Amino acid sequence: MASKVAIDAPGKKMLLMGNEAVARGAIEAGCQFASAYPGTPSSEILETLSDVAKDFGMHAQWSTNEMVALWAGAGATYCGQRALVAGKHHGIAWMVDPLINFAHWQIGRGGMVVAIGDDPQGHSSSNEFDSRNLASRVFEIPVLEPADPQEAKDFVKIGFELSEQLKSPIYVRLTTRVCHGTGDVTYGEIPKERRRPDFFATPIELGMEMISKYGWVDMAYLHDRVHTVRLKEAEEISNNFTHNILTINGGEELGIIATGVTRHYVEEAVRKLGIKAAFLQLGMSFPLPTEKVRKLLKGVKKVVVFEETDPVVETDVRSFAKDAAPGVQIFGKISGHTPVSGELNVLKVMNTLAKISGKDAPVIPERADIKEMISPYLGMRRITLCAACPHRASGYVVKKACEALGIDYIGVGDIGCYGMMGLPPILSFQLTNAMGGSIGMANGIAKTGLGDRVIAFIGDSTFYHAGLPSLINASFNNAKFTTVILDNSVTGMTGFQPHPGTGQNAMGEKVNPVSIEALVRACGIDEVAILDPYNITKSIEGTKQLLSKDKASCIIFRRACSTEYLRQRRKQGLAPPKPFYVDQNICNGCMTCVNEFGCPAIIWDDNTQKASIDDAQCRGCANCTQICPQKAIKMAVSK
Amino acid sequence: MKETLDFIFAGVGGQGSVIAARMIGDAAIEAGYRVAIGETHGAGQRGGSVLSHVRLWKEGSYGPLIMDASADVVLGLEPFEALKSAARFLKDSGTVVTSDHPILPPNKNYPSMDDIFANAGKIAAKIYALDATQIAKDAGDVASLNIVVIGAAFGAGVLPINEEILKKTIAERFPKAAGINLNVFELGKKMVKQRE
Ligand SMILES: Cc1ncc(C[n+]2csc(CCOP(=O)(O)OP(=O)(O)O)c2C)c(N)n1
Ligand code: SF4
Ligand code: SF4
Repeated sequence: MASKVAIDAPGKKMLLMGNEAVARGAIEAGCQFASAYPGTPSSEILETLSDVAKDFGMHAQWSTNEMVALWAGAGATYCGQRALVAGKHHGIAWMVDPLINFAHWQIGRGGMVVAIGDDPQGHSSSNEFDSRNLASRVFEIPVLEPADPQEAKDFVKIGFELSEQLKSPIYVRLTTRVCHGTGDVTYGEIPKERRRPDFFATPIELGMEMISKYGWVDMAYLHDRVHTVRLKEAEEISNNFTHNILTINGGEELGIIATGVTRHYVEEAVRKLGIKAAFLQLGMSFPLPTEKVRKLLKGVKKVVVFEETDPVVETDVRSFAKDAAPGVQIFGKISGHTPVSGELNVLKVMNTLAKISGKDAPVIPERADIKEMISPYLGMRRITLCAACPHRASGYVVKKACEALGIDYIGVGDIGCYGMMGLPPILSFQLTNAMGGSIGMANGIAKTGLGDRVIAFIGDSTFYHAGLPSLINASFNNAKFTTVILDNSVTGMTGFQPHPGTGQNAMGEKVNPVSIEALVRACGIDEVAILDPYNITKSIEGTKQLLSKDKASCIIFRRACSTEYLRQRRKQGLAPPKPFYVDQNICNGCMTCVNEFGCPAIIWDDNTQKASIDDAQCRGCANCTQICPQKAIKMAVSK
Repeated sequence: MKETLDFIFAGVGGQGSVIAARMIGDAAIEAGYRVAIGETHGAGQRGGSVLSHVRLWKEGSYGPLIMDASADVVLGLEPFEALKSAARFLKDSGTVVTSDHPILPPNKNYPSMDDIFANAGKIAAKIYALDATQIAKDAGDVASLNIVVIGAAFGAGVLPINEEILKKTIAERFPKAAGINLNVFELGKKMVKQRE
């Protein structure tokens, strides 16, 4: 099926996921460059564009990391083309330094939209934080907050126009419910003309302006004009923004301000509670539309602000109201009336509004008996590494090699599917932080002299993203530890995107793979072993050999992600590999396969006190056959 | 008065509940509804619980999350998942339509089917069930179990969308599998039974 975001049918209504809608918005804006590094909940933006980029004269790329993605996008803007840069909230942290520079020194003549998926509640993240703090306080660039897929599409398009008008990157703040929410979207026109690239260095123009004014460049002036020129103009735009909607019927005592998806929660909550409230919806939350806020404050006695995650708008409203309407009471996170963490939803909004307006809070049936019946089973679908995941075997190999050598190592993990190697029963490491942190922290731990060994576990995509500088640091500072690179030839956790080692990019072009082993050796590490974790016995031997040397070393465990492997087979019309089974006559119930390996396809039966294999889940990797001490696990004969 | 029709699709990662929710969404747009679907991705890929909230309405605008105890219908691809989401999301006297084919966890520690349905019955006024996995398997493609459940939902009379539109959406979604998918839709529609 041709991608639905490519359909050229203005006025047509289509069901799109928020991320697909962002992609469609870029297409409708005539955007010709898109770059991103994957990260839930934002990954489908570039995934969608990479499928159709060629049809729209667009280049789409998975960049090595978010900082590179931003720079690449900015490069395109200096050639007059529009660029979309996407990532998750962790990704914006990687863009901070360059983005401040682009905010002050200006991007090129092509517009730039930075679309970031925040993850309130941290559904798929190692933390929740509110990236609007960076956008509004640090970058000081306008922030748009779509509430649903329709707005996600429209705001991206509007964002490009504003970007060119204000010569500023525009921040589109998405959240999980917008990115992964799906809804009807009415299509607009797709422009036919493409912009011919034309290089123009806006910063030189700015520099010349400063030199003529002050005799030399003045960094304070650059910052000054952000406030005195750009944000002033942006505030004007915010006051007239068609998605900053103020509704006052007259006589309301309560006013509500809401941003992003919480605007829909508020509408529903107000209807359900049957209360009267003036309502200011903010599609553009920074700069604050002060005239609309002033109008709201004039008419009411109380204002409550709903936003996810931090009190960004609330803080601005409070500071504005202090002079504009000192008598009005402001409620929100700072006053303790809305939750200071996590997602909002209709129920939470209703509870807040009920409390403030003196109404009864909604009553939700307890169903205590049912919940009690359910509770013993709630943990049964815990997430684990997939059946046949090579990471499980790699972790097992390292554990067995260290046991054999009597090494008690300190393990540091990183971010990806392999993060689950830190869970029972593999327990490869005790510590993780953010992308690249494994090798990063090993640099410090190794220098303290603690422990027999320090082992850093890092995925292939993560290694390219952020591991490399830390490994260079290790050689430079003579830090002796072992780096284990889990090379499954894909960015697994975020949905199987290619990376620099896979030999294919987002445009589907065949490219020279960037060799991990060559990089490691170039960092000055001579002790390098490349092992296949599916060959468990041989890998344990190889690992032992390497670890018995008292030197900085690196093991690359190379074996394709089993889920990606199956996906590829399916695409080629090949059947999945044959499952294995446990010979019930041989299994003696020792539980080694369950307690030490833990492949989810292996099922323990309390009645028979024997293991068996669920053939719907088994992917035929044969790992467990090498682990069972009784040799009870065998390949099924074809029926 | 309630302005939205709220459905929860409950299943286990890999069962196709997300796609099923989107098919209902596609068909609903065709039938003149506005649609919002909410879901949590991520862990679902690796065998965890997957929930999709599907909301249909005509006037106004709504977010993608259904409030606790206010869904009209729970559509289950797996019986325990159906009960779990009914306990939180189904309104009193709502409807459950579910497959009764369990997906057992590795330790096989799973409640009895009687317990599951007895507890679902404390909330739901009507429960419809069928073995969607078996029906899909017998029809030649176990992956079509999500369409069996859509058929069952239609058969139970809980979908406000006419049969032509549903079938058209199903056929267009996976043109290569249209034959099997339309067949299992019919089977789901016919074989679903209300539990007494
Ligand atoms: C700065 C940042 N960007 C993106 C992400 C999202 N993310 C989590 S894990 C991961 C990649 C993991 O890929 P890889 O290292 O290959 O390990 P795998 O999941 O394949 O085991 C990404 C991109 C993140 N956590 N932080
Ligand atoms: S998706 Fe791939 S890398 Fe991730 S757990 Fe599954 S098999 Fe392992
Ligand atoms: S062969 Fe063994 S380890 Fe591999 S997937 Fe099957 S049960 Fe799991």
